[in-house]
Amino acid sequence: MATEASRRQAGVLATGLRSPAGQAQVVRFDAHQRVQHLLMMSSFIVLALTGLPQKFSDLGVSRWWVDSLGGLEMVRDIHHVAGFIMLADCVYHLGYLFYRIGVQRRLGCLRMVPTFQDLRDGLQTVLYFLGLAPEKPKFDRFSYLEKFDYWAVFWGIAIIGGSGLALMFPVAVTHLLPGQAVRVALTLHGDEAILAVGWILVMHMFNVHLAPWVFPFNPAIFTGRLSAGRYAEDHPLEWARLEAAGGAAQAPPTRPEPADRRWARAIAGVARRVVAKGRAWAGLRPAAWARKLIVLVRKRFV
Amino acid sequence: MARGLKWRVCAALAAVSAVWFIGLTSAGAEPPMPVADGHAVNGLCLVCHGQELTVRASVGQERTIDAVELKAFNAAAHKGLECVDCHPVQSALPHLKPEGLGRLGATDPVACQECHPDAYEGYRDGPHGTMAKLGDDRAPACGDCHGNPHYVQLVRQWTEDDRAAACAQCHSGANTSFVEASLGHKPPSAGFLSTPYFAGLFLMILTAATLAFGIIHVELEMLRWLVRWWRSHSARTAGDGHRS
Repeated sequence: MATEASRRQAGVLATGLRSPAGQAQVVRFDAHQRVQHLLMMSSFIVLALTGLPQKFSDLGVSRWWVDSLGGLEMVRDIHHVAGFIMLADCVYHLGYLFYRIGVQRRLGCLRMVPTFQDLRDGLQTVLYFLGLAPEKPKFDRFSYLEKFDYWAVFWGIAIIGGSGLALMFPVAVTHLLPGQAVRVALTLHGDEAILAVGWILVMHMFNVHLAPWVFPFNPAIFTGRLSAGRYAEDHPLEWARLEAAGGAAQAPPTRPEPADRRWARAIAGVARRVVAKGRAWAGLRPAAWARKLIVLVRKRFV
Repeated sequence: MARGLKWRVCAALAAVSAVWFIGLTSAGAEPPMPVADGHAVNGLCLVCHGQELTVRASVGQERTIDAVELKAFNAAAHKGLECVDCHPVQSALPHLKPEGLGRLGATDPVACQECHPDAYEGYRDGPHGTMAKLGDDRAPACGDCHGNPHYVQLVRQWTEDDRAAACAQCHSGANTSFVEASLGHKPPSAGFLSTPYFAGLFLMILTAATLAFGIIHVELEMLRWLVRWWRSHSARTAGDGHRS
């Protein structure tokens, strides 16, 4: 366990990050990540509130809720807008990753990639819960549950977003795919939504709100900061790295692991190729693209 | 037209009265079924409904009722049915006013479900049924896709293009592939629409397994926390007792 002195030595306080109570804090999420979470959270809640009544349309409360919102057509419009916000958020996040890793070469995001250590951590956690292991595993920047949360969103967006678009444009889909694709989309959209809402209610709500050690809630994803003491307890390996770095309180991992470097090289390579192909295909630079788009819009709409 | 109709109604009533009178006066003969008992024969209904009618609704607006063509009806899927089989509340004369019918319109699924319960269940579980259950006025009823129930043909006799045309009434551009998306009211099974069926099965197992994992994880974590809390609490209590 890191002492307060060692935390000071690590330079956490030197960054000037202090809570109102004067406690040292560590930056865990940057502004982009916080905005992305805010968009995801708000769109998710709206989607759940407008989607579940349609899934459980037999219930009287569903009819009441839909009527309260102005009828099914209005509910579906709200649902679609929220769905597009979620998809836009997903694109925002992918662009963010692309820029962070491919351009800036900041590799902190890659700590989210699952490893075998996560499997071992999960097993040790269960053994610890059952009293068969002396202590909890020491987590790095992201625990196995946090990784599961993150990748579940990727899976969910792909399934729910893809099927949602298919349900919005069923005729177009059946011009490209067999008709059964729409039936599959209908099944996947509702069932995956149950899984997503269930997981959020059971695990996410517990881990960030209801657990006695975080109650009433863990504000890190909104403020971006976590108290140094909590950080050292929840992410001891990451904390040790920060201490070793000697003062990089808000810096992401400064020395990439070999596996991270391999991932970064692969992603950067794909990024370079995509950009090069795009430029070659268009024969234009981004500024010229923008000018061309403006001319096109003016011709079309003005 | 109206004058001819009056004469036809008078003639029909006279015929019914005559039959009833003959029945009463016949020794030992059972009295004929009253019209209101739900046994009105089609011919009697067609005295009026064999031609286009314009009726005055209670709110003062006129409403046109299409004629039922007996020849076409007898060539359709519902031949052999009596009018009152599908319009049970209309066996009474004079007829109930439209607002008294509730949701028993001719093309309303409630009227069809008596003979087609499985199709009705499938309709209710599908996206069109969801619209109806949530009060959307645009929700299609049976007749909107299947056509006028008086002349409806068995769906299995429809061509693929007929089906696509039925869908295209609302889903502009629907083709024969689209028909497969909304085919029938039968729920997917291993032998029918197997891909959606197995996709649903997979999602159900995945959901159950994931949520079970989550719930067990939360419970074990809470259990462990309680044990630790209890031990530390006991240790504190024992320490205080020892000091005192």
